[in-house]
Amino acid sequence: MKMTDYIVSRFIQAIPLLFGLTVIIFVVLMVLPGNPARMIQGVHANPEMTAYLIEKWGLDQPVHIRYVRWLWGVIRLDFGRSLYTNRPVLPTVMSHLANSLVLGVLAVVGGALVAIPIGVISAVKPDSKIDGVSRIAALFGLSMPVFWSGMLMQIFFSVRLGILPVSGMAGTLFTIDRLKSLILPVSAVIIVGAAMDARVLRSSMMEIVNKEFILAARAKGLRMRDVIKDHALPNAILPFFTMVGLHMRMVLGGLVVVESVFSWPGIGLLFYQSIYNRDYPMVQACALVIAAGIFIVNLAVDITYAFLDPRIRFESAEGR
Amino acid sequence: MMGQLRKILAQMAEGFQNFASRRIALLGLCLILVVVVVGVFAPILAPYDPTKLVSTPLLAPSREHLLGTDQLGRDVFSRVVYGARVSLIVGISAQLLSAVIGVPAGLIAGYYGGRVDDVVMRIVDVFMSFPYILLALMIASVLGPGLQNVILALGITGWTTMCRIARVQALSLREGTFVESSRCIGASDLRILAHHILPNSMAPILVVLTLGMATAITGEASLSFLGMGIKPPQPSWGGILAESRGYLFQSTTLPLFPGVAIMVAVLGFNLVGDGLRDALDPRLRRRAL
Repeated sequence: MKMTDYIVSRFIQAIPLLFGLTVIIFVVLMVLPGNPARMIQGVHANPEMTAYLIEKWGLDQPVHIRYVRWLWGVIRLDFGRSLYTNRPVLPTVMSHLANSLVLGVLAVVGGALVAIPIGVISAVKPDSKIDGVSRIAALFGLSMPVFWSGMLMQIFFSVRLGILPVSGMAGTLFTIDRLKSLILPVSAVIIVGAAMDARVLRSSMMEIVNKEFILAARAKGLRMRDVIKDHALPNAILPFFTMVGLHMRMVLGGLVVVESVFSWPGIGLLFYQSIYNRDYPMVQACALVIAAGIFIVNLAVDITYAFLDPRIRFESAEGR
Repeated sequence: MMGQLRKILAQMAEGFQNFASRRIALLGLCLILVVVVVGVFAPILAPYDPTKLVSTPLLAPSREHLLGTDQLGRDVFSRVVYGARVSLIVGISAQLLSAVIGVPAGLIAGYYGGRVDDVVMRIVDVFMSFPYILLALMIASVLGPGLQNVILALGITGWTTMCRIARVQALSLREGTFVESSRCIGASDLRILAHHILPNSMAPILVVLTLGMATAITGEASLSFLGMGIKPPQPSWGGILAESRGYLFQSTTLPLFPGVAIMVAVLGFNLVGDGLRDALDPRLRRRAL
């Protein structure tokens, strides 16, 4: 199976997935209580305006008609206008997405830099002190809700020490101020993600270290460090990256919480605020963009994986 | 039937023997026990009504108010104690709901295979392609805040893990000779599923359930933190944290304790879940992740 075929088949597989997701998102939001046409007017709501808005937004149409209409728009990348600001949805979503990407990429890269050494050390010396400490640290990281660790950091670094901003996005891109406002949110995400990734790497390393080719490498007199670096890690790192890709789902889910703790104007915060404002088109667009983002990340990970390990391609050619 | 029962008991006993030998898992069990005791005996342990204003706002911890008071002058200790109840109720109920949806779906998918399996797994894929907390947030916002609705939101979104583990079990168990023999004596599919496959799948389901408790408790805290969970003034750990956000500069102790409580509960269930996994089936490690 050629690489291009593999990529194409993945995209084809994704179509029903995204389609299913549009159904779920639409159905969930359709049963939202509260009439957005009235809520948008606040306390000064009047029946004529409400009736006008209901007609304008097509809220009086049957659900399946509205779904097909919306889907047709989505296919043409027209997500409609925000019910709240009356501005087109897509540019707003994209600018927030960019802010989230900065946060997410830094968190993932930073997380890998933390997780890889910890995972390797605890796999090479299982049940040692380091393994124990890293296991406990990982479990603490896993168990700390991200909003709490975020708040603790705010208290320590912003309130007590006063060296980092409490929240918000300061300055412009590539300035010290922007960098400073990134430190806390990025660290908050890393604490959660890195902990899990380290454990995954440990377990895939553990499997590798017991393999015969590692024993052979040791037997021919290679130093343990070289065996790890040249034989064990390259083999263990592939499943690790797949897991990192899968964890993007959690990182992106966690973004809603992290971004709301730090008032970071990303897609998570937009999603959350739009839910609050009953801004259907915005919520739908955010949800789809997030899902598409997760799909693309997973695809990128899988392509790298398939590129490096041809067995994957053949397996997928034979069916699931 | 007796033989079946004895087998499961033996499996559990052996599992718990290994389990007990793991000190970390025992620590987890202690943490869970603390949370359960606090939750069950909340009315006895809490010195004040968790929703009543009893003192000056934002007091530091003292003898009268062990953990201080919050922004309205309510006793934080009493609120945290009652929060344990909410977390446990939500965790258990949401996981049971997930199991009620996920386990039958998974067993049926794995047992029948083919088209049925494809359909169920595609639905699981759709759910898994989206962060569960975002879906829960959407559902919770649709239903409005409140205990029941949080349980519903977390239960509906959390069934996929359960479904996958049940499917994998059914997939391997259906090839077993005991399934073949009961089919030979004319047992119906339902009987085979309920009496043979389900009991033999209990161990991994139990592991997923325990680990899922940790996820559900975090989920409840997150929803409440975002204002889509437990309705104030009912105390919940996430809610207390959310309320304390506006007072970071006035009181640094206020956000400390509900967070510790969440961590204790989540850590407890994670540790026990991991211990059970290692004890009952080490091969699960990779699959459950």
